Amino acid sequence: MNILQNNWEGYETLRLYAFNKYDYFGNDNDEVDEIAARLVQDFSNMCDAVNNKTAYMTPAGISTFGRQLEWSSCRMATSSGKKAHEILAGNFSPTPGTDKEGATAIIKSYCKSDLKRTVSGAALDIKLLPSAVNGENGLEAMVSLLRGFVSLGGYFMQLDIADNEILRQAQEHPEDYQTLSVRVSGWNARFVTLNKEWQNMIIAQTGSDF
Amino acid sequence: MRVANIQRFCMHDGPGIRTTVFLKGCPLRCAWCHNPETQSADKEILFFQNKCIGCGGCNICPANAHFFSDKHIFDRSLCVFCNKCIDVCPTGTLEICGKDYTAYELLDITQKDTAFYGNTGGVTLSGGEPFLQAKDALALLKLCKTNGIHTAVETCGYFSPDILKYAISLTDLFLWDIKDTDSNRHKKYTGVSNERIIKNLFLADQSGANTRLRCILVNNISKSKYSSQSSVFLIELRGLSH
Repeated sequence: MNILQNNWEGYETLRLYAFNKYDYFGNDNDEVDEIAARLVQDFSNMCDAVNNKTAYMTPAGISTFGRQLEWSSCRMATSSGKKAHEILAGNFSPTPGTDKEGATAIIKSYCKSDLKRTVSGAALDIKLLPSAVNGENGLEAMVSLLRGFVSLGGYFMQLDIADNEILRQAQEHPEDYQTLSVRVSGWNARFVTLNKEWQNMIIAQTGSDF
Repeated sequence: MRVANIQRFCMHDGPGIRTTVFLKGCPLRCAWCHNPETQSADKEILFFQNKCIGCGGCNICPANAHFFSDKHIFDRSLCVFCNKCIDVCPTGTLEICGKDYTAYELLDITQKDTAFYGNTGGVTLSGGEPFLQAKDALALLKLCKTNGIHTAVETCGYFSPDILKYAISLTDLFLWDIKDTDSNRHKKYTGVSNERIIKNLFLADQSGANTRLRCILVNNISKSKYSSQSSVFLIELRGLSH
């Protein structure tokens, strides 16, 4: 607790270990996702307990919709290796930088919660690159992704197709863009695992897509 | 079987959404190889020097393979593969490439994304050369097929013709590399001549395999006028052999 109260000061190695060496929500790890599912269940129970007791209905819902920026000033350091005032996860999405298995794993993690109880909505944000979705196979893959999402019980997903501006940010802050997948001359790679030259080349190529 | 990497949500290793299993080990040594960590069939330690924060945790090494001057130096020749440095490294500077799985374990992993395969997606074996570990690769393909998963194999075509019959019966789509049609140049830039590869391709064609040819274009090597022409010639010849 002292380490967290001091915002990981003097414990950078331990902080990085906590952040990088453990699985967090969004990687299709059952053990982790059960914790998230239990939190959703407990929260839904609490909402139900007061529902219709007053003039207001209080159905459960999970969302931030951009307020993760305003709320970040109130956030203290977490044991997951995030420092105070870092940006919270958006909506029901993984904490930035902790999801490493790609979009299908994020969806699997999300759909393990009992979403029927979050009747006020539980939005999942997914970022994809234009190169991952263009062309005939891109369309086919998007259809499969959406069908899979619905078949697993998902009902609220926001797909982002990231542009060059985001890629430049990913160069500056790779830890926040672990799952951005890009096309690299015939196969997919996570953008942050490529070296600078490759990254610059991809930015140039993607630019010509627009 | 020995696996270099497993990547979910792949959209460029065959149709639809796929899980790609990169098997370790390749009989070719292409000068332009884009996955050089998959060439050797042995386990290897990946070292990302740019991620190192100099915490010195890797000094736990019993063989003293890590030392620090102005930067972190890793002497691979001393490494005894105890993986202790990988366990303590907080940033992923050190990672293992080459984990051993059974076909059943890999089936479990690939089935995690069954909901997303739909009518088009599935599993792709890549590498390395998947058929360098032929027995295990075929076992995995068979497990996928019996579980209704579409199978694709990215191959360099350099494998024993004996396995071709089994491979064809278990593979829905071959993504078949033809690195070069000129045998001498093939040997110069990949380390082996291409006779076996082209012979296997024609055998596969005759057996009714579903194959998509892939030709690599490299500046000053295969992007020459001559090579492009010979690739077209090969494709025409292949069309006739059907």
